[in-house]
Amino acid sequence: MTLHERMAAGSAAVAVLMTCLLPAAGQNSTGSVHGTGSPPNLSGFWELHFDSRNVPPASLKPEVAAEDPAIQYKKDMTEIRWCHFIGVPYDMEGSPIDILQNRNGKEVIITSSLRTPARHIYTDGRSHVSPDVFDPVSNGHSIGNWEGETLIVDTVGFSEEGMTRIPGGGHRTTGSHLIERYRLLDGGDRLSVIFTWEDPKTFSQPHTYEFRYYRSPKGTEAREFDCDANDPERAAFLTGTPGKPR
Amino acid sequence: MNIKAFGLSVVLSIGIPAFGHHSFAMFELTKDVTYEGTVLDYRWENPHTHIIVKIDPGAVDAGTVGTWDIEGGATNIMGRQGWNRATFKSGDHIKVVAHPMKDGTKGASLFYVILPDGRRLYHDIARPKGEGSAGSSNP
Amino acid sequence: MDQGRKIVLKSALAVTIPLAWIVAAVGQSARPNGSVPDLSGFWERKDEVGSGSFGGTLERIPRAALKPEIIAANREAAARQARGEVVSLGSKWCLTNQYPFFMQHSAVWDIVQTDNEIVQVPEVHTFPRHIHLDGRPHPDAAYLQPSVNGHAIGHWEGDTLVVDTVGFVGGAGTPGGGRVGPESHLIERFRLRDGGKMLSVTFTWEDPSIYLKPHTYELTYHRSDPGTYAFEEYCHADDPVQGGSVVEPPQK
Repeated sequence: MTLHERMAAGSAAVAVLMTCLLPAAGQNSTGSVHGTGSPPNLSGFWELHFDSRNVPPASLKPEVAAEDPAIQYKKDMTEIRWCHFIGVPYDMEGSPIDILQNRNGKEVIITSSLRTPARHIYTDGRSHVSPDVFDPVSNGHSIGNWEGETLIVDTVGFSEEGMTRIPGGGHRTTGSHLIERYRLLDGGDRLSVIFTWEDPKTFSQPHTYEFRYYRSPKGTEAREFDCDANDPERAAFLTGTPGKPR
Repeated sequence: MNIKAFGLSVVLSIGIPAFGHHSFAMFELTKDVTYEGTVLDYRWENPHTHIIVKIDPGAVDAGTVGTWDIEGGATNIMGRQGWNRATFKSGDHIKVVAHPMKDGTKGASLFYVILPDGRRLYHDIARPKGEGSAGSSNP
Repeated sequence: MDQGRKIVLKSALAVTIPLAWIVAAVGQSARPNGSVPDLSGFWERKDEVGSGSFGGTLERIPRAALKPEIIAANREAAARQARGEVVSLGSKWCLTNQYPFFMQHSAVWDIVQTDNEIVQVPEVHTFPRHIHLDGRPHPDAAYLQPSVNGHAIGHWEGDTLVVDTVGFVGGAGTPGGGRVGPESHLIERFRLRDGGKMLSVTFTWEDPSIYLKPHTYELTYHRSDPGTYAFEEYCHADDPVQGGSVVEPPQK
């Protein structure tokens, strides 16, 4: 075979090879396709480090500001002692959290290491469920939509179950409304989540704070921090006076 | 139905061998009784929804006269079958098919209610013998 | 190039290039957009034949071939249950439901799917189940952390998701009379049916300490209605009704 013939045959082989590889070219190994017009991919394990939180004090209603902190403390410890669901916002601190952005674009799930329901963020265009039939829950009902590179999540329908205290002050109530803004930073190595709480029972003005999660190392495994309400030693620790001999 | 097989399947279907806050074996699961009366209380709660039903003398089934605790399922189970916290309220008329307690206590395990338009609201996914659900969430 | 060689080369190109396009096209039509099947969404069990009771919906599951001591333990537990005894306070204390509990329960569960991971999200009080698709192996036994859902890794074989799970805490039951132990090994095959309206999951449990031979059964799920949203099945161990049952009301 001459050089020309070899080159022709080689070109043909390359053409065949490229054709077979084309269907796979659109996908990457870290998530769904991100081409022109598709949203960023928030999927992955994310964790909070010591410098992950910027939480200014909340502007509380006077009656909330005057509340005895022991009341909230006792409520929180009771919820933990009895293994109640934790809910928002504390489950966003159940590091690491695992975010899965469904490849069909209809839902984003946020799981944590805590024994508490995952957060379902419905991104299929639906509205909130009518409060006439919706049973308030610890995570509320979340719907999301993309504004450019930012996922905006709107949550209502909270119950008062779980760890209701809000970073910066105040606590989640049935009247709470939470708006979150999720945005990748640093080429996808960090995730910014800006939380804005509105609640006429709690805040005199909307309360905003930000977490910046770090992407967890590759190969990170989900953890299960289980809960046994029937463990007497655990119950005594959580409800007793710290340091007091049993 | 063979109670032993049922008990075993319940025991082993709920995740931990012999797992339960109470046993369904306390109910006559092969017996369907129709209770028709007035709702005194509708408690939409976990672990079980409870409907307190009063049946006055003169009922078609004299054995149902009295005030009964009809026990349903968890709110998420019943919610999938079309129930919600506003499905019933005190004073509503109700027609419910349930499995009575074996020991004669005026209590029963809910199978389904029959709404005025004839539709049924079931406790969970189970359907009467031979009446399978064919792909819609209810029935 | 002589005429013969030209013919050979042209013939090769004439066959190879169209063949390559055909292979690519067939691949794409079997997997739209070059992707694997989309299992995501809410799934629920239905009583397709009318079983008469929830327990009846699992009666057609083939019986597991169990070791004699496991059979004896199951019989004793069933007998105690039939007598009305509460042989475990797991529900009263809202203990975590262990896999495969939510797969045979009446509550719906949600699948969210990415390229690297699938998570199954149940409503009952347990943890979401993470199935890693990124090629990672199971951790070395020395580092494997037992969990209620085990450590699950998956890969696609055509249109079937094959999931391999080890590392269960153990203690759960399976349909057909089986049990889950710390040494149990589970292989599942997830496959869409009926144009994506149904999901078939075949479970095969292996555990020489429990089974005489692998225990295999299939459960099918129906896709939930559009707009389905997750409930939360709260469980309050501190609520007196959690441990209670029917209470005969006052007879007015």
